[in-house]
Amino acid sequence: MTLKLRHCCFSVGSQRLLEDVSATIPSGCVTGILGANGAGKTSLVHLAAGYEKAQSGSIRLDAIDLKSWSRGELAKKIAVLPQTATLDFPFSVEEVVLMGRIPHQSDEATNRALVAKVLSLFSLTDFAQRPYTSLSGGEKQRVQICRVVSQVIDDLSHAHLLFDEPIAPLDIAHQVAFFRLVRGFAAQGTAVGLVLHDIELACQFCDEIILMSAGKILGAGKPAAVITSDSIQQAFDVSATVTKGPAGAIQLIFAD
Amino acid sequence: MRWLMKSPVLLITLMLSTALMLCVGATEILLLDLLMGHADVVSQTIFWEIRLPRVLLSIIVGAGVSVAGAVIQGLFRNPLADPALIGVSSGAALFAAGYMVLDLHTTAFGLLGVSGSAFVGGLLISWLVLEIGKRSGTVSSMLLAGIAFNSIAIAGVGLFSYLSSDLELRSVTFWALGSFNGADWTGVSIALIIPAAIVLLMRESRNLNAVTLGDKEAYYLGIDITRLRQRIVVLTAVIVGVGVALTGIVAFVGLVVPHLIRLTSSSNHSVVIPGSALLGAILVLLADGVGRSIISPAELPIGILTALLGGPFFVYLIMRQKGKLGI
Repeated sequence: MTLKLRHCCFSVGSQRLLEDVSATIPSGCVTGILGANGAGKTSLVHLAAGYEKAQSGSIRLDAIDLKSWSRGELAKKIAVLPQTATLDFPFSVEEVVLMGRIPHQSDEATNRALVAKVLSLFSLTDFAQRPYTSLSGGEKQRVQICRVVSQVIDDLSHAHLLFDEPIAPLDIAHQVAFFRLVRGFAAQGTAVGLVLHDIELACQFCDEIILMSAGKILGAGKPAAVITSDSIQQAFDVSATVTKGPAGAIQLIFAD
Repeated sequence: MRWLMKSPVLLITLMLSTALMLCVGATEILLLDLLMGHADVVSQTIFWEIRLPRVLLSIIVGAGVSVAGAVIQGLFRNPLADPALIGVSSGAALFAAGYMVLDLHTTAFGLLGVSGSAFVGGLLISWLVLEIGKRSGTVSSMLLAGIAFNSIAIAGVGLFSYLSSDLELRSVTFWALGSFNGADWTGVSIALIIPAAIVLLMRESRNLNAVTLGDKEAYYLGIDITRLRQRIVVLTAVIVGVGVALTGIVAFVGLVVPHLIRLTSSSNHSVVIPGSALLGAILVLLADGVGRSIISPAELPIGILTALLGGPFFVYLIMRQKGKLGI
């Protein structure tokens, strides 16, 4: 299943946030969405998942217009982690992750088993009964990631996982663990879209990169093809030399 | 309901409290005497015409205001929200008092009745508060707007009470502090709409859980937020409107009770809603029992007792919320 946006324009009031955007988040792939603040990354995610409606253009999930999908069916196919999550009620970690199962009609025992599986993937099994409100920022983020994953865990090969800045609150060990897990999901056929700010990590762990600037797509394709000194200058307005490290990883060296 | 089967403590406590409160009052009645047919005619009349409807009404209204508080807190994603605090209850009181003072029963509005008018008042304030919240985008402005509406509506109730020549209506304390003094079987039969609304709200438990995560999160979980909000607001207004029309404003119960359930059991609405219904029923039942016994044969308005319990708890919550509300 592939998520395709074609010639999408999106405005809020008089402000044009996306201009003639065409992008693909293919199955079996981890796609990194990069760009400066306000480049339109979050708007792209909201449009792709149906939360916002494009004024023009089309969005298709598995070649079917997104508008033709019922909200309930869409929730079984596309799971999204928005940028900021606030939850002020002391739900247990397990209860929060169980909320990811809301779109499904499966029985409670099945849901609990799936949630236990997801919690173990993210090393949160011991946290299951702890109150969410007592956790640190990074732990809360891991719980929210689990909630989103639990939404599609029973059918990863037909799922889309979209994460808006998922790794910002995580330490480096959990960032790497996160990337390895989503790569594992992609290997099972999931289409993964990640809004990221760390270009080097994005290049290392993503199969495809979508680089955005001022509401437009600046480039899309393999990391090495998209991330160049010129594109970095254009997208972020900073001078950087893009080199290849010892293991072939892309490195950015910024001018003084 | 599964939680209720596992934790029957509240259910048993409610049954014991009910039995106790049926006996306690200006006239003590022994249930055993009544059941054996040994009670005199006066005791039987007091029991069937005064005590039983009063106990039933306090159970129903106590359950109702607590559930209304629980779902409003979930919908507003804020533990400080409560129908009595954000003006829904006083809006209902204003319209109910207005209906009576302005003699609307002789006009086209007569079909509404006191309860219907109170429902419209509660609905109007709920809608206004939600609209302001949508436009400003912050929960704190929504709460502050609610507090302002509350003051305006209370002032309106005061004005109606002052203007009224009817002695009963001039009793501001009925509206502001609540009372089960006038409970009768007609009131109980009208109040039966409250348990029906509670059952409908229990069906929204999963959706309310999702809403506590945020509007976007709930959308991505497949929930139609706009329609959910409409359903919750209407059902809450039914509960609050009918409750206020029959007993005045019973403050703070809707704020405190859901917290006690969250602190002791779970934040899951499939637990919070039935738990709040039972605990709210118990607290209001006992508070009314104390209110009518402590200075017998006179009565202490129930709102005084609930405010004495709830006020300090509210301050505690504000202290805990420090820095989160952005006020």
